[in-house]
Amino acid sequence: MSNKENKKREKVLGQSRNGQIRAEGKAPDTILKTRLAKVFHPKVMGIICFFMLWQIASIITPENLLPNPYIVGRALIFGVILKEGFLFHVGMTVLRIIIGFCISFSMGMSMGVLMGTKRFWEEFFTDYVIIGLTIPSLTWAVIGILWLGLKPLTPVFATAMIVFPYVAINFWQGVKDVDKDLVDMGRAFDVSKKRIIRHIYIPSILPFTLAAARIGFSISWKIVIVGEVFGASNGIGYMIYYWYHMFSLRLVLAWLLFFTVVMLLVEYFIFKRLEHYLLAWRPQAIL
Amino acid sequence: MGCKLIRVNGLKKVFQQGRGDLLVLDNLSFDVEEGSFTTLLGPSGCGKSTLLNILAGSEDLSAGTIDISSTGREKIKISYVFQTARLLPWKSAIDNISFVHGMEKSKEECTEITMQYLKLVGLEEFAHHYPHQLSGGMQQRVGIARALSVEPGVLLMDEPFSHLDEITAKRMRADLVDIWQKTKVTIFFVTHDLSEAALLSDRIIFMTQKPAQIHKDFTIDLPRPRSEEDQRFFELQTKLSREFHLMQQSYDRTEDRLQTR
Repeated sequence: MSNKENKKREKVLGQSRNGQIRAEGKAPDTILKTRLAKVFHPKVMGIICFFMLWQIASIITPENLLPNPYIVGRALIFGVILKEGFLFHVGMTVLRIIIGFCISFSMGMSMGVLMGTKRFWEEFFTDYVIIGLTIPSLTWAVIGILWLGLKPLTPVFATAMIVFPYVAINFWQGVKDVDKDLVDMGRAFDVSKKRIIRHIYIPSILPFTLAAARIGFSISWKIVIVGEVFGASNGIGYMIYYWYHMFSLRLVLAWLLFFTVVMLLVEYFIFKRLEHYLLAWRPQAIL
Repeated sequence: MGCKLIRVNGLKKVFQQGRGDLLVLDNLSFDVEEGSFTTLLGPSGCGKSTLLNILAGSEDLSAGTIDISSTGREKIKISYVFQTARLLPWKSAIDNISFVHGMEKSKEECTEITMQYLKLVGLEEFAHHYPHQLSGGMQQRVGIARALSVEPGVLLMDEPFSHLDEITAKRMRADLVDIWQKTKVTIFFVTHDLSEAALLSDRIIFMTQKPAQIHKDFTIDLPRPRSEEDQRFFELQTKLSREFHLMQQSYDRTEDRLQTR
């Protein structure tokens, strides 16, 4: 009998006799289970499911109405990424997003903090925020063009105007959410105002800041692209508009796919990491 | 002992309200001796916390005087333990204590003091734990260490064990007496719990319902450590409880009289 067989036999015998060995025999099984759990992670499943539904939809819809994932994927590589001027268009869009985001973030932050701290300014600005949240984005894009003309930075104007109420509302809630008891505690111990702001206010507003950054950033993307459709001659929005005029749904979807991938990368590689780093003290930061 | 640390004279507090004023504290006068464990005992909502806030200087008084000073030193440092621990959730136990120390101390000095007081409350092993990793009792211990670390003349404690389960609270009370005997700090303790007051204090100031007046002033001279199984302790508790019912009855009578008028 070979050595291998012998071992196998031992194991089988052991299993019937001894519970402990049986437990050992289970080990590879659990490894497999964890591997399967990784493959069948809800997120992975979600992505697979999405592509499957897309494929099915492209089969059952009439020809050319919805290109299948493979065609769009090819278009993404050859018609978008490897095309001349790709980096220029993406760069312009990113630049507009960053500028628009910075303007709206600083405006929203100042307004939100003011609203959270001073009763007067809370009353004063509440309607501004509500109106700001409800004005259709299109209005600002059109007003931007009428005021500033078709300049490279026109979409920035619309972005700043639309995004800042969202940032303001987050900071407003964030400041209001600061635990009054902790501030009282600080005062009771004669802690300086500077230290109270640094160690109580800022850490408790941080999650709201992150939320404001997230929402501000994602809306900035959307608005900049709409703005580029109307008021720019370059950028991702312009390219989508261009391919729309060429009746190429394939390339419109390819750009959209590219855009989605970038958004996900920003979320996982910037926001999640930032969150993990800044809110490390939290019991279970949901990651 | 013997020296008066806190002198309260004719203290009144009125809250201005929409429909007429609300008298909360009515003509309170008492002294607190240095190094003593004085408890302010009163029913819930009688204005005990308001009195503490006034003593702490975070609320104004309407009439009367308060003097917190000892002979020789002009100003006394006041420190607090709150009903809940009030720890910063994003700071470890040690950093929570360092937080109340200003910039005047060096970092090493600060750490040393902090560790010393964490040791006093028996939490030196948990110095780098965040509040959410500590039990309610441990959190309150950090709160006590924080309050003591500023080396106060008076420690004000506002029902510090009321949010803890009874078993934890029992241990905390015993430990608090230990700490008090070790540090010799003056403690002014507020509670609505009769047996807690009886177990801890040298002296109990019994307050009535709103508007609060001093109902009775007991000196407790039971030897320490006190035990709840002790016959004398049991008698004291019965006495306090009887007093509480008397106070309640006289209060109810006044209420009735006011209503029938």
